[in-house]
Amino acid sequence: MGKRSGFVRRCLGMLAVVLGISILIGCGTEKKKEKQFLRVFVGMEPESLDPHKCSSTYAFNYLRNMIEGLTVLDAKGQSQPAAAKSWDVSPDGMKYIFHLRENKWSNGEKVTAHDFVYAWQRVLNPQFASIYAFMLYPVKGAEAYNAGKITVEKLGVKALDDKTFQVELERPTAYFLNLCTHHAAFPVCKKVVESNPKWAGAPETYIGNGPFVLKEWVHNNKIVVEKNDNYWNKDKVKLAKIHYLLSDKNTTAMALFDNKELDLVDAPPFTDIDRLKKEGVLHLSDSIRTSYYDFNNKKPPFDNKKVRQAFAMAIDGETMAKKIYHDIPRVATGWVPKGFYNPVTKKDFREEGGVLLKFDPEKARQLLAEAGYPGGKGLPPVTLLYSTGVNTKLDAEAAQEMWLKNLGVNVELRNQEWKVFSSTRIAGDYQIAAAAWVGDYFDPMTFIDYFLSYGTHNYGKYTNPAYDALVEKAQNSNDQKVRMAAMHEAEKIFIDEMGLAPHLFPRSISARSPKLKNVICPGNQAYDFTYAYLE
Amino acid sequence: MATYIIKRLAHAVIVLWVVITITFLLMHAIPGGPFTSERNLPPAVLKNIETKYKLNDPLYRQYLDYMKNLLKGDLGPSFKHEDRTVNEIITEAIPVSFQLGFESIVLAILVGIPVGIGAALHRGHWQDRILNLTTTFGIAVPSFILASLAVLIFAIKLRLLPAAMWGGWKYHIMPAITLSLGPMAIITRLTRSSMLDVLGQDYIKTAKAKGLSPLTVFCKHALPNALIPVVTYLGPMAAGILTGSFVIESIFAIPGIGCYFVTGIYNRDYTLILGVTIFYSLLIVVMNVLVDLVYPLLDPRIKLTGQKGE
Repeated sequence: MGKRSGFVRRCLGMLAVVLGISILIGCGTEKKKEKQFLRVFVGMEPESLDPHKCSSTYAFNYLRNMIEGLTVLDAKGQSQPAAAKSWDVSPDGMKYIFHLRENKWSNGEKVTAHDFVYAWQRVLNPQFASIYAFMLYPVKGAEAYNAGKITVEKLGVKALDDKTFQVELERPTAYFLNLCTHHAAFPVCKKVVESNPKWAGAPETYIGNGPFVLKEWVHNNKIVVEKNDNYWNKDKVKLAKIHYLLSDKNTTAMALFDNKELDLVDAPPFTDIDRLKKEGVLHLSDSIRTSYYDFNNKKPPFDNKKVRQAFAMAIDGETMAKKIYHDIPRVATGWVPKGFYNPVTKKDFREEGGVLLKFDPEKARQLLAEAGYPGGKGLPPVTLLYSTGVNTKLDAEAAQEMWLKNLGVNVELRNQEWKVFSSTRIAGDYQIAAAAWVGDYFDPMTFIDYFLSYGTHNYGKYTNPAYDALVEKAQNSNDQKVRMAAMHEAEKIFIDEMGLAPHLFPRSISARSPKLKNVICPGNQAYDFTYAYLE
Repeated sequence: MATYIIKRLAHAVIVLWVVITITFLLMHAIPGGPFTSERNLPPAVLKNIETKYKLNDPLYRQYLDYMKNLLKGDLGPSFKHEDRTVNEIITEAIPVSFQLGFESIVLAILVGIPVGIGAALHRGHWQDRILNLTTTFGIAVPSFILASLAVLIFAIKLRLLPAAMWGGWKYHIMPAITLSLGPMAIITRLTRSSMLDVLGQDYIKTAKAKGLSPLTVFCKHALPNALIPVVTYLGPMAAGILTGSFVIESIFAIPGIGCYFVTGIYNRDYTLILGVTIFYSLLIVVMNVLVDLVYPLLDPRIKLTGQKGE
């Protein structure tokens, strides 16, 4: 008996030790003590917080609030002064001179033009091998330097003095100021980075010049940032602290939101949309994104323009938006989505471009017949390739049904895991692929140059010399009037030939506490909490 | 005993080498690499990255380089998490998974064994039937359903516990319990059936006939023998639980190692895939050796030559 009770005692003792350890280790999510403490979910663990190493949109969400480039995006996606207080542009648009404001790093050191020179040389350095180096390719010599063809001295960036940063361009780039808002163009503190290459890995060594400063980073769990007292506009920053939940599950974030443990959840699960709408906490905004069915223009039957047109016109975007996506996306009426501003007409590029594409089953049938396949007869087998995902599957099945109903064509579905899907597309081994494109910057060019016959993303191999000529005209001009007109013209040609079939303009959704105000997230590029506050 | 352990370790090295080689070949056979994405990178950018990570070296060279570094204990840099090495990722995530895993194992054992014994002693009674039903439920229902249900009830409806995240003891309750339920059910069933088996053996009858008290018969003769199958199961089960559960860690946003087994493959993070696989294999090998060391304590007839004594 003695033995037995000893055993029980030992077991109980062990349990007590385990519980004790559990209580001692960690202190849990911080309880909300102060009012201006924001808790959000805007994505998962970033691959890095070094602006020149990270490559995902969610990494940009964290970085955006810790480091500031020469310019920042306002709510409309337009560039506004940030680290640079002003700039001069040469009449030919080939040279930019940025005048930096009194601006400090979070360690109190001054942000100088030399930091920018160092940063841009770093991101383009071939040995550094930054994924987003191409964002700076408009800079003179950038592409050649990145390809190891010229030395760094020939790169068109220079510090004229501590507070003047000069950039020469390869060709006029009307949206250059917009590129300066991207994390690839962010400065880094030369002194810190040179002395510690792993500076971005820990809060103790992390240096930024943005409104918030990194305080804690528990991998796959949380990032905590606090107000940066060295920020140039600190008096206007109201939030004291932001706690980012890092998770790959939006359902987990949603549970925390429902439990009042989060104030904002980016991209909540579609199953919660209707409920969130009813509760009045669903926030909806345009995002520079287009979903489309990519046709392989070189493979039969999609080498035939009429077949492409027929397949595009047979898709009922409205029904798809309603039935699958809870009425969130807009129906695609062209290739360039809403959200790009034309500085000449002061209008939205899409709105002034008008409706270039609409659902027309009758015309679709007629076009298919004209192509020699009446009612789909004689058409070779067609397969739609899509990547793994709940919505991608529903989307593909809906398209399959619409093509059968409207054209009489039985399209087969083929599913592949994301990376397998991407390599299949790059290899051009598909007939139709369900895909989406997100713009990198706020100029229609981020969509329009996609179909240059030599474009790196033109997987479907659409080629048209007239289209190339118009895009090049827009690329080489600094006159917004000329550029915008050329891009409109190019888009018309492309949609007429239906190089691919845009079907939806997805919009961004987030669940937000009604108390949260002043969050900026243009086109869903990155959440800017600089001037956000809780009521 | 020392010879036995040395022999087992030598076997372990061979097993690990085979596991590494197969994993290495398989992961390179999957289409798409660490830097494949919807965004087709400009040729110069892609070439720079491939040179930096030596991805354009022939496969045998990459394999030899990896093995050379591995001998030095270096699991290499992560392809995805640029500022971190695989060694850092594993050492940071392991304590969390170990802590949660340890709590779940203790819970599974402390509940599973006594309940299993109870069921065996009440064989055929209503307690036994209810238990049969509950353990079937425990084995059949996946942990993500139990976890989601627990979050709904205890966090969202009753507001007793936090819905997710990792910290003080309150954060451990739901994940530890949901993670322990599956193994707990299996341990209960194993204990029950092996206890029934042992109780029917001749030596138990002999012990009883000798006039030993029922308690002595149970504690000294029945229990240790009945626990052998349970201990055998505990080895791989512990390795599985200690290396984290992707599902539970992901539902409760726990910063453990479980997620890397899955995200490593999504991201084709070659070094990370190999790192966690090596770690897991190593743990299984160690656990199995430990289980072997426990056997003679339970049954003196078992000697550490791997054979039963005379």
